[in-house]
Amino acid sequence: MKTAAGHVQFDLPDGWRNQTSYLFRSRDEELEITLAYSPVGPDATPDDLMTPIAAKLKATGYGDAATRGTRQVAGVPCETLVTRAKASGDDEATVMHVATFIPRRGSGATLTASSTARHEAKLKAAIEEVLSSMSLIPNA
Amino acid sequence: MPTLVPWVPRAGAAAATRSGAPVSRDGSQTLDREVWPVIMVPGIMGSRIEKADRSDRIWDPDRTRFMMWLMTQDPNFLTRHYSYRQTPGATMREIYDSDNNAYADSDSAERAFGRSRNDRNWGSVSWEYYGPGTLAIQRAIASQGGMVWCFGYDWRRPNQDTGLALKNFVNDVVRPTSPFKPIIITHSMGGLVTRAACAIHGMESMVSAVIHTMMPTHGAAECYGSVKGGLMSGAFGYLIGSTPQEVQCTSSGVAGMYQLMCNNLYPDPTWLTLDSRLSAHCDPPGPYAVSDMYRMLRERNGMVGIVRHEEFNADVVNVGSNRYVHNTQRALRNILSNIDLAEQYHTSQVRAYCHPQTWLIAGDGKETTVGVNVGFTQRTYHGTPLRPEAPVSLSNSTSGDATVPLVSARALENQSGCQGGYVTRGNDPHSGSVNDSVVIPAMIDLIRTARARTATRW
Repeated sequence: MKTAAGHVQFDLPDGWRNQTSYLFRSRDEELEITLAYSPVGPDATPDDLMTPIAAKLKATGYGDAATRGTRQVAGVPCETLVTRAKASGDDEATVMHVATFIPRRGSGATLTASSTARHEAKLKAAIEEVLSSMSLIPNA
Repeated sequence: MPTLVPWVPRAGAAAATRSGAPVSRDGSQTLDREVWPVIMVPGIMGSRIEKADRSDRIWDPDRTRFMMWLMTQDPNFLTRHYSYRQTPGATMREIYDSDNNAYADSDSAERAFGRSRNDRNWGSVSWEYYGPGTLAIQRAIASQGGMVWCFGYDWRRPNQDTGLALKNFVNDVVRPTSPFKPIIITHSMGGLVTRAACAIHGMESMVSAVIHTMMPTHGAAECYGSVKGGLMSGAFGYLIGSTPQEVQCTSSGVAGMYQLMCNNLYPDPTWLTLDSRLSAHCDPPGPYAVSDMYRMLRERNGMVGIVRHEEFNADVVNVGSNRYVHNTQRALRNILSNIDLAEQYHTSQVRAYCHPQTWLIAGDGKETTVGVNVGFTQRTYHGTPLRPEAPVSLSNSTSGDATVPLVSARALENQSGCQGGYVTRGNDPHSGSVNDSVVIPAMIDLIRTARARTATRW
């Protein structure tokens, strides 16, 4: 199976799974984006991934004011969620954007982007640039 | 025999959270006595842990950004992440504020100890859960020489292992700093850790006294109900899932949690009711009784047992919403090992152990899960009966602290080592109780009492 990892792609032996979580940080290290893949069923939808995340964020107090939406990413349907939270010891709130989509049958993708509230505008611009420019690697 | 009495704040107790340190003419505070140690041992999920190679966090409630990210991670990842066997951990060492700056010690009475809060291991416990309470205790006793340490630990590990680490902490780290044996104050599962250290690893003679707060001595009904039923409530809110399979997978690496399930000695045997029709569908067949709890947890068809073994032995489990977890044979092995460790802890190693100088604080008046009912349903498909199911429901009362039923928190009350203590009402629920303004003065009161009555020198 052809697999991409950063600047390279290669064939993985049968049965191997990509369990990497990709991490990207802005130059000033104030913004952070992670992309993780997870095993899902053949009929999985982006909502299958996002609904449990939204429930978990709400149950733990991190998603009380979350807003959800839908869009297209890399030509496939995508669920989005934006939330913010501030714990008692925090100087300012944390903002997090989450996007879920199914890039390939059997594999779900969860992208998160976070920053403190003071960098919210830069975060929003960064996540928009990433999602709007995203495309799927053929046969990978 | 001393018993627990309702906690009524005494005159001046409310001021116990303020510093009473004597102030000299130049404004500096002074210590007029020898230093005596107090060790705070937190409950499950109350310690901050990172990967053993210090490369990344595993659990850090003080870092909102990390916790929010963690909540977005899928159950396949979390099953490995929360497993101490697959993802070895170590406690974090430094206290940081939200801007990544180390906290400065600000209290002059503390500075007189010559050891910073980081030196005293405060960075290992969650400030969010334990900071205000620990600080209040420190401020109340600093002027008398009371020096508070924290013992954070990898709460995913079995309490037997953590008990040994606590004993070594007392002997190697705390002992050289004071002529007095420490007073240990515990919260929730920290009580099980401390009792393991004393009963299994010989720490009993190394401590002056033990104060247990909100301890699930013989377990809490909610723990069995949450794992078996996949219920999104209570102390395990962060290990939650929307289905039993998800909770069973993600918690399979948390041995400590299995030791919080009700055991054979649980004081109220009516906590669990089982539909009689379940017995015929169990493997091995029933009946099952709460007096043999560990046989029940191992039952292979998942009727009364914690998981259905056949499902996990397929090595991939659909945990709901089309999300899969791989390597579930390993998860099942971990679960069965966790049950073995819990059985050893509660039936042979620790049982109803009570340090000879023990005080208790139990919370009451909060909506608490005190009972679990496992029902029976069997649907049919065109007249053919399908595999039976065992739906779980919880029953609540106000007899407890929102997590630990009162009967479990008071279970050591009749042991000869119990010196008494308090039942608090009107305080925050279990997980927040150490920081609560009702519980803090009660803890300080018992620390002072223990100090006055039982402080012993090495």
